[in-house]
Amino acid sequence: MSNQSQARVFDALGEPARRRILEVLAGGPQPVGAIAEHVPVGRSAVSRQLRVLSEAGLVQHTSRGTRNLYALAPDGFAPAQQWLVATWDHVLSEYARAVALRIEEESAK
Amino acid sequence: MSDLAPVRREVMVPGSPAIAFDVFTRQIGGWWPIPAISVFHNSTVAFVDDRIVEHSATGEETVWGTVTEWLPPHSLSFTWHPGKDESQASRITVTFAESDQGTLVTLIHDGWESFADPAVARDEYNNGWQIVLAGYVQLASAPDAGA
Repeated sequence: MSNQSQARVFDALGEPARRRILEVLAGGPQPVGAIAEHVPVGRSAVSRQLRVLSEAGLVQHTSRGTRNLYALAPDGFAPAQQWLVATWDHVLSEYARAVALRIEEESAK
Repeated sequence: MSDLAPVRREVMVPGSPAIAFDVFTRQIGGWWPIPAISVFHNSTVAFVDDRIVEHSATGEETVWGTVTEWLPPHSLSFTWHPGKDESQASRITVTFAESDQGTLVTLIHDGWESFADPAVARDEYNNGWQIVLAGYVQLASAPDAGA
């Protein structure tokens, strides 16, 4: 999982209209028009935000007959979680090393 | 699906909780991996009063978070928003528990999925984000997810 894809998830979540779209999609797959009824930014803006959410891996679209439906993507938040786990493991290993050094110093006194 | 649970990491360190707490806070500038994880990269970080502040070599300053609970040597909690406005803060709690081998340090990063901005938190949006996430978990873990 690249840093870029993780950054995309966090960036995607940082915008209110996009969070609103996720909220609407939490109720089930929807076509653009139905989503736009709940998100007061206009249909073309909704399409643009859906593209950002798709690129971040949070949303996917499927065709059902002639209808294009958008839905939440399974495991969409996984990249963000993985990034946090790796980051904190790195931070805490540096921290543990510093504590061990401090204990060594104190016992050498 | 546990994707949206708080991130929880543990590490065992030698010595007492008092030392572990002191190294974590007063000595943070000595161990935090600034080149990899910071806003300015060429900088220092320190707990300054109740804030965690990064200072760049060129005199810039940015706040990573604010201490909300300070209970040495047992635990501390702080808000967390490096590189972001404090309205986009998540929360971190670190606990220090004495054990036979030293001190068990547990870090819990909560609310990281919530980038809710109070300025846009209209009534309709109150608790909305929690509902989104609950719905997301439910839907994404369903057998026909995304179908």
